[in-house]
Amino acid sequence: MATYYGASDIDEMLAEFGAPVRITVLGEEHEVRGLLDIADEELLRELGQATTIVGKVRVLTLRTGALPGVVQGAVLEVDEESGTVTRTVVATRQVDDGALTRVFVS
Amino acid sequence: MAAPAATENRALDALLVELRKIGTAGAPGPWLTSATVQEGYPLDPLPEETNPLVLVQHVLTEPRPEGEGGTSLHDFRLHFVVWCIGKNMRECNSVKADVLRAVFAGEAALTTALQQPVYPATYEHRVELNLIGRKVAAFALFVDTAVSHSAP
Repeated sequence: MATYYGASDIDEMLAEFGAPVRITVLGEEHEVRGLLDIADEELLRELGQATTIVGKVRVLTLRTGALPGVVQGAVLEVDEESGTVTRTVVATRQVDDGALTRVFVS
Repeated sequence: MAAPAATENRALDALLVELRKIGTAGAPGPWLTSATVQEGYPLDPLPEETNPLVLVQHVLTEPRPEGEGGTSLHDFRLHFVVWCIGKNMRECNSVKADVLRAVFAGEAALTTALQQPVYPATYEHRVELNLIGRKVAAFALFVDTAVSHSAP
């Protein structure tokens, strides 16, 4: 019988593959685990002007609602390979029936 | 003697000379930004630095209707796009203002090099870089020039 991953598996998945992500709201630090994906993507492709502009897209996947204050402009501390990096939230998008939130950071 | 460079390349060179004055000391400053000016677009991802970036490229050459019948000279309009990249739309606007400042200040030199001034055209904000926290606007410039048989 096939096994499907669902919302009940999210915490286990993030615990296994995620990295610590922290935010300080009203002086209180909150920490969860999130998945950081980094990809170089062709963001602007203007064939009529023979232009391509590539950018480094960084997306954190978090359990929706797990971290308070994740809105545009919020500052996050993300544990990356190079160490703890301060990232700024650019935009958020809910996915997977809203169970997860993709947080674009710069 | 080497052949003259292509008309588009001569125009691009003249334009770059003026735009690379952005952010430098002396006339025609002061500037709003210290934007880095680069020809074309990088194949690699945009640099992570937050300094504004100006990408300049020739995009189109089109014959001008009134010039189609010439026998020794041909009138063409050369179109350029200046991509103004900044951290927000206001910074893009500042970059655009610096581009205009450089073009206006270099009007005499550009006119000497290209026979006619460089004219500003449409300036348009774009959304494509939003998700990396950057903004981009396309600023169109054009110049009308007569292409001779000896230096096309």
